[in-house]
Amino acid sequence: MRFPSLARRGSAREEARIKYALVLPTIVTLLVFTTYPLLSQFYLSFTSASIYDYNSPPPAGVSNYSYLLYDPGLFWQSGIITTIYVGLAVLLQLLLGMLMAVLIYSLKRGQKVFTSLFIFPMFVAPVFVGALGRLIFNSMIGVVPYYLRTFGLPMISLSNPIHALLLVISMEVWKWTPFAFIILYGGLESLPAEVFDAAKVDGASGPRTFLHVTLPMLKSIVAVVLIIRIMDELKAFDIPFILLEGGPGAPVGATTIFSLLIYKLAFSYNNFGAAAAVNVLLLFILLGLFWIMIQRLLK
Amino acid sequence: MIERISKWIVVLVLSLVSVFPIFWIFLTSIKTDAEVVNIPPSWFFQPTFDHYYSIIFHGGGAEVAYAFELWSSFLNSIVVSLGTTALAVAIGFPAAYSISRFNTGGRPLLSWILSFRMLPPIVFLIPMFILYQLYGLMDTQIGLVLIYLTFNVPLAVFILKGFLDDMPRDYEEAGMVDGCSRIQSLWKIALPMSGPGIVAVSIIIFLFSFNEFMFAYVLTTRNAVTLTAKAAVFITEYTFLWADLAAAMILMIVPMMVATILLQGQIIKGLRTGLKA
Repeated sequence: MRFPSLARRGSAREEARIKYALVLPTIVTLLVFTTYPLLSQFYLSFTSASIYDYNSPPPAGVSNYSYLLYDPGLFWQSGIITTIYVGLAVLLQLLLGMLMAVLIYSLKRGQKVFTSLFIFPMFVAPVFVGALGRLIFNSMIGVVPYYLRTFGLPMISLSNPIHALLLVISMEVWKWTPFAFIILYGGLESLPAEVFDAAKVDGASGPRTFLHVTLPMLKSIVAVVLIIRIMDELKAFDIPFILLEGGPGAPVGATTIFSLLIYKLAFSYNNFGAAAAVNVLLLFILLGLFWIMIQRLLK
Repeated sequence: MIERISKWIVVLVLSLVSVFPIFWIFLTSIKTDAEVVNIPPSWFFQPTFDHYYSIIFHGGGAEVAYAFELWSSFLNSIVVSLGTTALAVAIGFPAAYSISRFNTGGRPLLSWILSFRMLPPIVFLIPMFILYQLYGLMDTQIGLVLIYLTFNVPLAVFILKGFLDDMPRDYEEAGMVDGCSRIQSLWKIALPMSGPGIVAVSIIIFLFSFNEFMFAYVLTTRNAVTLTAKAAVFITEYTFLWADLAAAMILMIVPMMVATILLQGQIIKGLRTGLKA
């Protein structure tokens, strides 16, 4: 009897060659395009590079770091703003997404219709979400300020730092909540119906069922959404940039999250060195977060 | 009873909030320039499609020398997005196959690839800016594609691995019993069977690339400017041309919407499978 496959698959070495060859392009692509930038940022952070001399920038020791870390109005202020931004944005997306998921789940009719309506914001590119925000909240011709004025409600002024930050967060939440909604709804759908029947038989009411039965079962999905959205919000750039370019105030305005700070330092203040330093600090923070996450997951 | 009514109220409010901004943009796009700045904001008026006309055929507000240049930037966006998608899948699929079938590199490799999702793109902005200036990659389509690859290849590997994991190996084994080599079974069996997965990943990567803004804005100046970057310049320089901008936005949102509705099944499947990985 012939076993052609065995004859061909003779050596484990050939299999090893193939499997490494298959991942090689990926590894090469990733290595090439990340090693250089990361190393360069690290190097640049110890220089006072600018757009004129980025090739051979004058060394500046740790002055960038001391400049950033001692002045409370730069890195730390941006840090606070970033934390508030990420925290609120993710929290709201989770809460609203969960609300949407539960609502749609409990609807008897019109599920598809309302799902499509809820998903609308996902189609708009982040740039346009920013543009949208500028139009709708424009203090002169915007719809929202106009009706707020008419109904005597408190005015929203974009030069008010708190309003500005809340606006930026709201637009981000508007765009991304459908994402949380979809994932959470998928989670809800995959829950076994018997548990709900059992709870009903035991006489549990709606909200109680949700809190004590549904929610615990959705824990891992919620965790996934939480982590993904936190990682994504930390990287946010487009919407805040288009909306207010860093918000009222300079150099660190009310909506200058880390990514905007880096952009501003590099391209508005022509300080590549300081921007690189913020990048390095940011990377350390992210590494820390990543490490904490890994610890949690490995438990 | 009250619970039912309040539920419906909330649903309606959420729907309204979700849809209103886009609806308002549509309204704005069919107003005349004077109507747009009308106070109080007008809801009923004589619609005009002038803005669409000028955006599509002339390239922008008639009185503006700077043209929105819809077509050239649209073309750039398409080329860059297609290029990124094709390359990301071409590079990522073999890796996904290798990891799925052989567990190449085990957990370390997978986490290493995953870790790229944690890197904020801003970290790469300045080095890439410098690098591209030095090597003449500035303002090129290929330049954008390369940087987009860095962020999309991990995604491709992840989602495709998820799909492949769910795909039984029996077919490939059967193929190998019949005389295929490992590579042939990848090419002739696994690849065709992964059709849905590849479609899902392609859609996701295409959408991400098409809507990407930061790198497109910073790394292009004239020739390779994509739609998103062009729009940003238009917004900041010509803030008063709301109606034209609105028309351009609708033109870009609607196809995206139609495409996503048609393909939503695939996208959701792709997202969910990628999450499992």
